[in-house]
Amino acid sequence: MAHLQLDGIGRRYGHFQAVDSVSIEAGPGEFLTLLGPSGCGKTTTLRIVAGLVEPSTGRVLLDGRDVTRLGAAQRGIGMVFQSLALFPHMTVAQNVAFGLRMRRVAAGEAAGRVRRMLEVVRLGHLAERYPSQLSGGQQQRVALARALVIEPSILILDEPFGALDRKLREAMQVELRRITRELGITSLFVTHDQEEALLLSDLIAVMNGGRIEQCGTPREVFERPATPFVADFMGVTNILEGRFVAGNEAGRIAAAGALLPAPPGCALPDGAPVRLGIRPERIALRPAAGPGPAEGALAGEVVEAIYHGSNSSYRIALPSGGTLTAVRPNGQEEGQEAPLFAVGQPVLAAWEAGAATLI
Amino acid sequence: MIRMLQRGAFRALVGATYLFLLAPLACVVLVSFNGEAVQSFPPASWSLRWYAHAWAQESFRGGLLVSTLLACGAALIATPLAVAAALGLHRSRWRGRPALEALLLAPLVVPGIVIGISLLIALAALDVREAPLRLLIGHTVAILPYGVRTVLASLARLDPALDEAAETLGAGGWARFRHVTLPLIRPGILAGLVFGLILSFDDVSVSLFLADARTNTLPLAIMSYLEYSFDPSVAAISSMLIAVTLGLAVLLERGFGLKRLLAG
Repeated sequence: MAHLQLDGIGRRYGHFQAVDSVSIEAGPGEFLTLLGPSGCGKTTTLRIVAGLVEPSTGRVLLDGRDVTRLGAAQRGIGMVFQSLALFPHMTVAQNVAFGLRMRRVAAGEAAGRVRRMLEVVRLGHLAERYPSQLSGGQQQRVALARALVIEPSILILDEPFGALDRKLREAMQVELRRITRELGITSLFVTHDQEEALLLSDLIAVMNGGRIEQCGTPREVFERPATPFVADFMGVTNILEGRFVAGNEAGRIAAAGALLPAPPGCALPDGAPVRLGIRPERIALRPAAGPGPAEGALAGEVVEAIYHGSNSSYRIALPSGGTLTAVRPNGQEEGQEAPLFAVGQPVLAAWEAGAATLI
Repeated sequence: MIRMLQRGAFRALVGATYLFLLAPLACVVLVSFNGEAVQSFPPASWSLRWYAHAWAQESFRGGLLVSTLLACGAALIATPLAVAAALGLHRSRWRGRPALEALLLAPLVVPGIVIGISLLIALAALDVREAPLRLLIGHTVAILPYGVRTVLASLARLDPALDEAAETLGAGGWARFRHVTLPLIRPGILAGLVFGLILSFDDVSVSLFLADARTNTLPLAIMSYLEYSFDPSVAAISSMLIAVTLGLAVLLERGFGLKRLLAG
């Protein structure tokens, strides 16, 4: 268990600034995830923490100790690689024992620790197999055991579940959560999958263009995205630009040619420019009764309708020029068949005031 | 029906290819058991006397000893050099790397005669006059690129994360090489070693310029013997070489799997 702190980390490659003044912290036992699209600098940041890449600027601190100039071999960090990097010429037990061997741990003690760690990842019965004889999920667990058996100060994982199919990935996520909580180890995780990040993390740092856009708990990042990029990455794909209209109670927002309900609890000066974000699954659709806008709703026309089985997604063109995306569940709802909308149909899109967020 | 014809044609082609490749070897072996004084095919009578005759030739026995020592020496010197060179090339991010690689692999495309002449001139300039030393240097240079090639090929197939994984687990540079890289490129190293042994053993063009009257390799001894006599003892010695090579191949196959080595 250790306290990890990055202080103004930056890394340049020629003219390309891969990582730009990144400062984050993970307390003892916390699970911190760097989330972002490929090329956002998350893997470079992770490799800087591991000691595999030297930062151009900034410091890496473990429990307050500056380890920036320490090589990877001296840092005592457990790492799980994207390709897993299991040694193909060693058995599972030999793979797991490698770090202990390098630390000259006595053979008897090492064997015991390897056995116990293999029990933790539930692979005790496969110790004598070679990595090529294991399934993807089993290989994953060997990589995890190999990184953990050296009792690292922190555990870092570079998109370890990318290669797995959906079902196995979900099982491994649950497994990883169980193991890291059980051992209480500080973890740094890298992924581009927002669901994975939400499920695993205590803290999420969303990265874009080498910088951290927002850092917070999964709830904060999901419910109150700080920037349009974070909002979009967390699935808030509808963003309307408008102005705040002060008035009775909560006030309203003038956007896309309509007066829309403002999210509760926002106190802004009249006329302040705002960006309103709404998740596609929070938008309700109903057939437009007649021409002209309705109170608190946006009128538009369905330009794309895609049936996904349990739900359907619709793209709605607004008269103001933009489009909205709405995802509606299909099938029975409160005894009524949910309506399907057709391309070309005029509809009204509305949502509860609390479903929208100001970004 | 057409498929059967196609399959038949394919089999015939494969058969013909093998026949074309192996028939000369079979002829040599048959001729070596010839009882007559001249090489003729098919042999009119059978005898082992040419084996005895070949073995009695001082030049063959000396040549065999020189060639064997030379092949082993050159392969044992060239292989570690090739591993070091390949590792350096593989890790280098230097701009001149492709040029350096081309230079190291050059003996692969330069004709052996040119290598022989250049070495003769260079070694004379350096005042290296002892034939055994000249041969050893010449053969080492000539076989080095094969080792570099095979080792580079196996390095290229290694996941670079393996080395990094070992590093995060606390392994220093030597430990990473010893426990991770070396075991994984061993097939490539062995393939280079075997190629080196064979190429050195059977080299004529480089040796031609570097040998002298007292130190002669087996291929050179066979060539000079053929200038004056055309009896089946040459076939006998060739058959022995075929037997040894086959034996070596079987041993390698049993030990490491020849196919895997050559694929490296």
